[in-house]
Amino acid sequence: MTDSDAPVPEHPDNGRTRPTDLPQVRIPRQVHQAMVDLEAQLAQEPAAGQLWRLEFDGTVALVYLADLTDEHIVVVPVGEDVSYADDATVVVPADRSPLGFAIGIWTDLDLRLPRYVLDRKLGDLDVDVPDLTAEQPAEVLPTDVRYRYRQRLQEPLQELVDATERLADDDRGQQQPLSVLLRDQGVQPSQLRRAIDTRRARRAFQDQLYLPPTDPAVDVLAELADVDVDEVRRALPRPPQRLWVALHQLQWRLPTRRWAQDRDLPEVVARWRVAEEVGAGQFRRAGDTDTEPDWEQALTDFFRHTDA
Amino acid sequence: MSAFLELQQTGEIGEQTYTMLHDVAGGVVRTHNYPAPSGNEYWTKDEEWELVNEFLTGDRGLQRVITLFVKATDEHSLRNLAAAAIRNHLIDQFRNTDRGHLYQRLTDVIDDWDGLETFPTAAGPACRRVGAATDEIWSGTIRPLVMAAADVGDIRIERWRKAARRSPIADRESIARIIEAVLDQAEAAVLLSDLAEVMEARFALVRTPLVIELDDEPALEPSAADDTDREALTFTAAEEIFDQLSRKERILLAHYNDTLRELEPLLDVSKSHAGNLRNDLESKLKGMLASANDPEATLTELRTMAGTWTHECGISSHSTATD
Repeated sequence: MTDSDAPVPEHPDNGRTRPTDLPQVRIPRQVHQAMVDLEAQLAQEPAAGQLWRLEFDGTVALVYLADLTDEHIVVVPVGEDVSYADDATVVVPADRSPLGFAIGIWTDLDLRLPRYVLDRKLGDLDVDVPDLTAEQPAEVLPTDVRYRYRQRLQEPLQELVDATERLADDDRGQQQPLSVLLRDQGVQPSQLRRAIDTRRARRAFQDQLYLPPTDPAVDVLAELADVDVDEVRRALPRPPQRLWVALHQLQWRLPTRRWAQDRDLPEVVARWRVAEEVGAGQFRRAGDTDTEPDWEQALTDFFRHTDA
Repeated sequence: MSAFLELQQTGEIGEQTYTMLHDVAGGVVRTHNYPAPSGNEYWTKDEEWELVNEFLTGDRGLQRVITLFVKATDEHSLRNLAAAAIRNHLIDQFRNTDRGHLYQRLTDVIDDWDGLETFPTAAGPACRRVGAATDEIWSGTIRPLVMAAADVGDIRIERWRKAARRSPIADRESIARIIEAVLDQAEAAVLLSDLAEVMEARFALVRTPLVIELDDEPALEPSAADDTDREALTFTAAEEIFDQLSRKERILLAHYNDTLRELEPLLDVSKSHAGNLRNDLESKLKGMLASANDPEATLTELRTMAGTWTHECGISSHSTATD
């Protein structure tokens, strides 16, 4: 359980409300632009030597992009606390860092990942990074405080590796489908229609309701089925593998981002919604066949239609 | 609008983000029982807002906000990242305090010491001897543990360094021996937080010592203020040394002119042992007083403190230190 999930004891003091003056804290323009400016992002061509944000299924990591092919990237974790730097860390001083504060590149922790986890380019890194293949691992013992920091830097990258491998394995068949869970628990379609909406209720019973794990509808389903929220999360169908990979490609991240901005939605939530709309649309058209739809075409049609 | 969208759209801390950070900060301090700055049982709203302001505008405040901004993917992840960042901020602050310093020191010693280990419990990490048969946690008052800690003699003190602005503390082996004595007294595992309290009482570490900055240029004529400063310095030096003395050493100091026969029942040791303790105390005090501004005045102050302490503890005396 995370801190923000944990049940919080009530505050015993009903004293003052918040101070009237907001602290003046503004994110530097170039950082803000790199994150939200769609026009600027159109020109983001990945190349070695850049600082990138990786994202897949909501897991995020900041990395130095060391190398890339059409399918894969080689990345090195970037950390914000340079006081944990070791022999193999390249420190980028604040005045040369795209984030505006000093960052470290932990060069001996390089990792290979699918290219589709590239999310946003945060800037160019004009620093000399040694040849990773020749890089000797830093000698940091488990008793060293830097050891734990290295682990913390590796954790999100390892999560990305695991998530992308899980996607490649596609183990959806091993889970109890949502439709079976709902029927076993005696949930009636009419109940579901009232609690969410008709279209989504139908999709739930057809295992085509693609929901992010934090979506409020997950709680509604759990309450109706009278089961634990995690049981519903395990039963939720995943979007078709190739559609999901396609939606993570830079090519489709941008239109998804625009779609999200138009609807005041976070991009990760919008991606699930797009997957649901596009996925359900294709199944409706193709019927329940084993033929893999042309997802690229389906996405082109979807965004053309919604943009119009 | 959510805090996440506000940050995305405006690129600055607005109403939503500010309020969200306060919510999360309140949750963090209450869930993890961080001590309130005022020393009260709970954090007031003012203290929580102060924490958020410090988080946002203090050292590395902007860096924290940028990191949240570039790593968050939605409101849920923003809140989780904020909670982790606020916790880290509190831990950093805590480490910068004397108690945090002591807690860290205890953890380091236990990690390095072969016979001791820490293990997690619902109330926080606890310490036990390696291979201890019981997982039971000491739940009584810390007073008997403090007494056991005070009875551990031959503590090697690390010299107080003004530059470090930290209270002095004993060396690794001495700390480990005190911990072992406390565990023996408890006959159970002891929470690290309790252990820290015992150490605070043993070494009086929580107080940040009074440091009086004297002018580099000597004053032409001594003034009343100079006398007060000198007195304060002497008192502070004596207090720092006194806090590092064991129970037996304090009794010895209070009864410094007593014969060994008179010391025997007071210290509950043999005459020869009492003689050894007195010799040890002499050489220890010689070293500790060497850096004092006025060693003689400091020793007089120390003996007064020891006399008062034995009186308050009800330790019977035939003569007093100030006799």
